[in-house]
Amino acid sequence: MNRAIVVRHRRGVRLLRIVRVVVGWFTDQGHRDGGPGDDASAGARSPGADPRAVLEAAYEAHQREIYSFALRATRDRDAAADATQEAFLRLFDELTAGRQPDNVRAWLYRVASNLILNAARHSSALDRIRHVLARPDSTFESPERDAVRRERDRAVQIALDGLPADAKMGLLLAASGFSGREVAAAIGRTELATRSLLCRARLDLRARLEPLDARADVGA
Amino acid sequence: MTGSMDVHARIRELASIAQDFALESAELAELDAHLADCPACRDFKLALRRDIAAVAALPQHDAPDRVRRRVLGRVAGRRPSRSVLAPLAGLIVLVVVVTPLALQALFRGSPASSQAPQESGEPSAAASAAPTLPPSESWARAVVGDPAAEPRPGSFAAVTFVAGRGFVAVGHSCPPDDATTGCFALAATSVDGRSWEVAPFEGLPLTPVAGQQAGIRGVAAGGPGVVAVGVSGDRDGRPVATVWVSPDGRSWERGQENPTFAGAWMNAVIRTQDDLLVAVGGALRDAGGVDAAVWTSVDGSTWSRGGLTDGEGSEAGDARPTHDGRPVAGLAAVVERTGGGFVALGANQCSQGGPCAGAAWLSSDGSHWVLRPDPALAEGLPVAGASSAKRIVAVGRNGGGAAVWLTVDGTKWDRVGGLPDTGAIELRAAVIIDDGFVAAAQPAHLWGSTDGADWGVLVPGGPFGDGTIFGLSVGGDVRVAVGTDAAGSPTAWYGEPVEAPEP
Repeated sequence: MNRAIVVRHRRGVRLLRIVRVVVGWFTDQGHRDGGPGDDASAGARSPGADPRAVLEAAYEAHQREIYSFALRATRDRDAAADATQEAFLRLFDELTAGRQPDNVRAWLYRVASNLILNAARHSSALDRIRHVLARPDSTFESPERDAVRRERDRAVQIALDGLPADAKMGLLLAASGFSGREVAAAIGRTELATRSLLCRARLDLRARLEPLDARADVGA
Repeated sequence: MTGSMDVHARIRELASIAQDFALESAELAELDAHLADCPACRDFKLALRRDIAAVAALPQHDAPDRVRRRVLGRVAGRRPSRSVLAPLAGLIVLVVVVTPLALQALFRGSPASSQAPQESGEPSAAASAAPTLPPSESWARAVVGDPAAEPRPGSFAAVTFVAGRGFVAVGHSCPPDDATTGCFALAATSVDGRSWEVAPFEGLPLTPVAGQQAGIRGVAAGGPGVVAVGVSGDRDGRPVATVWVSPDGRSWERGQENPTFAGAWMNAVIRTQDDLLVAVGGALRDAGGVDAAVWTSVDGSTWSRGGLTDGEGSEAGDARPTHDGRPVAGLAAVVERTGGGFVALGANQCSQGGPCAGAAWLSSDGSHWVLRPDPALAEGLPVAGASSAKRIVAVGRNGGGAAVWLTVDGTKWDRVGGLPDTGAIELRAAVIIDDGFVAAAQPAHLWGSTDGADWGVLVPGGPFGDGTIFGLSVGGDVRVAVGTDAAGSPTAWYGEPVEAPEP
């Protein structure tokens, strides 16, 4: 390869790296200013704690539920893994900045929710509905008890997949034990808007699961 | 009537809101008063609670080990969080450094300099032409069973990793004096990939099958713990698709008999994100020839045969076996697409004594499948596949050499060019490791690719001797390959990543 071209190529790489670093600074800071890590519960300082030890403990305690939450929300193992990874790395940033969230679990849920919702908002319409198109229906025909449970899990997931992204996220957070107010904070909506969102989401989910109940009744 | 329905609808809205928010006192009184007299709305309120409980009860999964490695590994060498001055410093850097470079690039722009730089780092003349690979691997042969015992002919056909238990490898094993009769299904387990315990053969007898090697061909976590699929024979030597289930990989029993298993065989099985088991294989036609065949199960014991449309199968009488004793015609592998749906790979339109046409079948639910003819696949024969977040890779052979095909969603395939010149006649297994693709080539060695498009030799043949690899799996940091050694005995190899030094 021509040496001049290589040199110019390297300069191009450096330029891109610098731009990435600068953009990274701004985007990270922007997240901190407006994201879930900036609320009152995340502002507690614990200067004596070792950030790495806190992170490791948090990872052991919460990785399973955060990943499962992200997996149910995204229906994509890699996207769920990415959201989980980023949430914990952002937690490390908070810890090294001397801001240990009062409630690490809630903080992780909120960051993961934001990451997933932001990704969903920036995905194409096709991406958003692809899993719905891919799983239009399910059959509920297994007579076995264990099979019924699995079948119900599938039906619940399919019903969730049919909801809008923020409604699905709200229900997943509610199912994880968060109050309506906490859900509102996590998804960045007012309490009034979240009240309406969760109400519609629960009614919608009920309507989607009702046929399953009817089949179970017939089967019983 | 309408007014009454509106009241119920409002009450159900209030019941829904009350799950997450405190109601106003007037709303609460209205709700309580109505529920006291309306059993249907009381049931509805209970159903709302059941629904959210069902969401909460969805199965949970551990994050992949790579997330742990990346999080805990990255923070080990990560700088402290940026201070509030960082953006200002960034601006200065942007103005002082970036602007002259940008202007230079703008005014000196050439085709090369205007290309998007590679993600992987500082390119050089040599690096720009090299394939991108996952980290290097260190591999060695594992110990299978009692090293002092007389080796038995046979082969491992597949391997999987079961979270919390370890690896489970499956295949067949035959008496030393006769490799065609009296064989047993073979299963072995390993916690670390280095030493393998062979499961007792009780409960695993096989009946020979005409034209095929009876045995287990696929395995996946699922059902009571582990589910294995394959083929045994009936008293006339006709194939019978067979399922084995095990709680732990060590004690096995046959799954329930099923009328759709007669005259059929299973080559592979996967468990989906929804815990659905999907098995693929083939089935003899009454009039002769072979049809592709798919089954699904939620418990590993009860299976339903799926429907395939537009599959032409093979011509009459052609079910000849391939390298590992399975028929060429039919489905050889199945992968789950990111975002939902499945892609099955196999051979269609096998002519009498002639070549088969590789093909892919697509399904949104695992039960209903449609053949998607593709000219790139039709030239070769895919036998295995792997799916990453963005791409699906199919591997197999084309003509006399190894072949790789690439697709985004299974509907259109491109044959990958520029493959390593290692004399590989075929690729027989593929797996995702650390977001990259790894494939097993024959003669035994491993290829790797980070994107499915650029492939290189990941592990040369040394550790594998003259063996053959039929299955690959990964669990944590351990990779496992299974197959046969040069003497024709079931063999496993294990590998670990070798971290590249920091540049």
